[in-house]
Amino acid sequence: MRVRSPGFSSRTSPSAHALVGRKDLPVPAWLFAWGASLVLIISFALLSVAWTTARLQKEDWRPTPRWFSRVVLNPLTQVICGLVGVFLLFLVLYAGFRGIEDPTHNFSIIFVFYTFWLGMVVLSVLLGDVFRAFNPWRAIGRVVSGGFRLVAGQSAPTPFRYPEWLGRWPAVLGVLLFIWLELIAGGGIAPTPHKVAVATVIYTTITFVCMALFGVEEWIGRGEAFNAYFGMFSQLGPLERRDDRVGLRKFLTGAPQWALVPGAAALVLTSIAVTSFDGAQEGVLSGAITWTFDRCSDAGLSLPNSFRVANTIWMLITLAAVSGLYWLGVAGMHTVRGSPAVKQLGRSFAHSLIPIALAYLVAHYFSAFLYQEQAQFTYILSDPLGHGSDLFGTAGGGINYGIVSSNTVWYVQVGALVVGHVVALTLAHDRALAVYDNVRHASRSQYFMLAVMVGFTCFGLFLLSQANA
Amino acid sequence: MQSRAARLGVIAAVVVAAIVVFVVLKSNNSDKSSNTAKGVQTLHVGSSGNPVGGVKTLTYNKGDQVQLRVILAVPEEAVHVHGYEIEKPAAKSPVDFSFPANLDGVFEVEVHRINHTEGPIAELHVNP
Repeated sequence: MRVRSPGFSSRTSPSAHALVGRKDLPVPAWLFAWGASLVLIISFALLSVAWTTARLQKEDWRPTPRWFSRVVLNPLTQVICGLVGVFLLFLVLYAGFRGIEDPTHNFSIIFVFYTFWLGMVVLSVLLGDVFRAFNPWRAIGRVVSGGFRLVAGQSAPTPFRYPEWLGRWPAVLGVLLFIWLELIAGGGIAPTPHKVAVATVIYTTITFVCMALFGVEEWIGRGEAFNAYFGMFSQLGPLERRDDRVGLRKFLTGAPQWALVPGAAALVLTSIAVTSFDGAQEGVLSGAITWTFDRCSDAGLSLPNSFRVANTIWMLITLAAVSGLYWLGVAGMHTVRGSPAVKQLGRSFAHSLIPIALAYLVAHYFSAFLYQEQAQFTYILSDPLGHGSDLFGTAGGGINYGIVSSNTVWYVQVGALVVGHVVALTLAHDRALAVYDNVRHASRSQYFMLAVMVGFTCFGLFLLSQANA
Repeated sequence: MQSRAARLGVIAAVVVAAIVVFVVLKSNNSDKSSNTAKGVQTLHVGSSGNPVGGVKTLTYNKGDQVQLRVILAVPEEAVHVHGYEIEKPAAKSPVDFSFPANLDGVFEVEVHRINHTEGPIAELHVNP
């Protein structure tokens, strides 16, 4: 495979070069209409059958048998998981710096943007906070601080306490920058493996510095972006580790506590916004982005920089719009008697958007994930650098784009959005019963949340019906 | 409205409504077969390696025969149909393609230029 650097010579907005050979057809109009009407029908039906005392606010966590916790959490497993994480981090760097420039044939691109970023979300929902075990920065940090203890005879000092107000804000910034790297940094083409490796070095450095300043577990548990992001999705699932025990809780009961930290609402809104932006970049927003792009290049910016500026502006506008919709709903809820302050109210309901964030991810990346994982486990596995090696005899494999039909893709997409909507409403309703002191006020507050959720879900459906890249 | 029977009733009503709406909408669906491309479609690529008249969208129904003739002003390296993964050398013009559209979805037809850049010249929309 030759090194190619896709370029653009016409004066049109370059679109992010698709890594994927097959893009999805837009969801047909009739299916869009069905999804949207289903959302409305279900929403009102839910209001009429919903329970009147909060049921999901207590976690009711029960430990699994001791032997199970021992198998999962013993030091050997921890060391193995840590080593796997560190090895993969090293491989991302090595493939990024030494591998082929073609993003479709380099481990660092396929692994970081598909297997890791999307696959870890799936694992987190199903199995709990597994990323923590594989987190390479945590593993290295623990080895270093353990070494320090051995040599110095005392724990490494941590000069700063993690400030409460910082909450999940570092993760918000991290997610924004990660998506910026994926969709915008390349200036109209996919980011090169080299760029991804450089970004990894920068992020690794920042994480080491912060772990030294705030303490390893403290930074990993609160400030580290990937841990916070995947941790958010793990709140939906039933499995959770506490100290040295793995336990089960009722579905969805982890989420309510998650949102009470500063920046939590911003994190889930950012996740929804960046996924929307990815869907809208070549669809709904393409006209607006092209217009901005032209203004930038008229002003004398180079084409890649015009692309970066135009897309950054529109990504931030998307973020503002998504956040605005949520906070508008919160402001509406605030008019109901007995409401707490707006800020507190916004935090109280932020967790109810996690299912919508997950649904957006499934809707937008389901097919691309299926394709790229075939690449990951065939030619990328055997030839991670793209230099022609064949480590496991699978280098000749390719992507079978026929693995799912358009119909299947559409049903999965619409189904994910509808299910996400129902779960989100359930969480919000239950929270309202806990926040308001009587059922009538709680129900009234939920008209506003219902409008927000219907807005998000129909917006998601609309994006899919416009362009489904 | 809190009895078990009432709840089941509402849920049943939702399911029925969902199915009815689905059937009605689906049977009214007639966006198939409308403006599909037939015969040989000619795509011109200018000397800058860009498609003359912009990137064309060609719509097919699954199973149709896709017939493309790519006429290049200057020799390029290859023309590549994404997804179907058909790549043909483009040193000589025209480059002809003929294959059945047996994969639904959206696929780019791309020119790989001699200067190692690449760009789309058409987009195939294959309806299921």
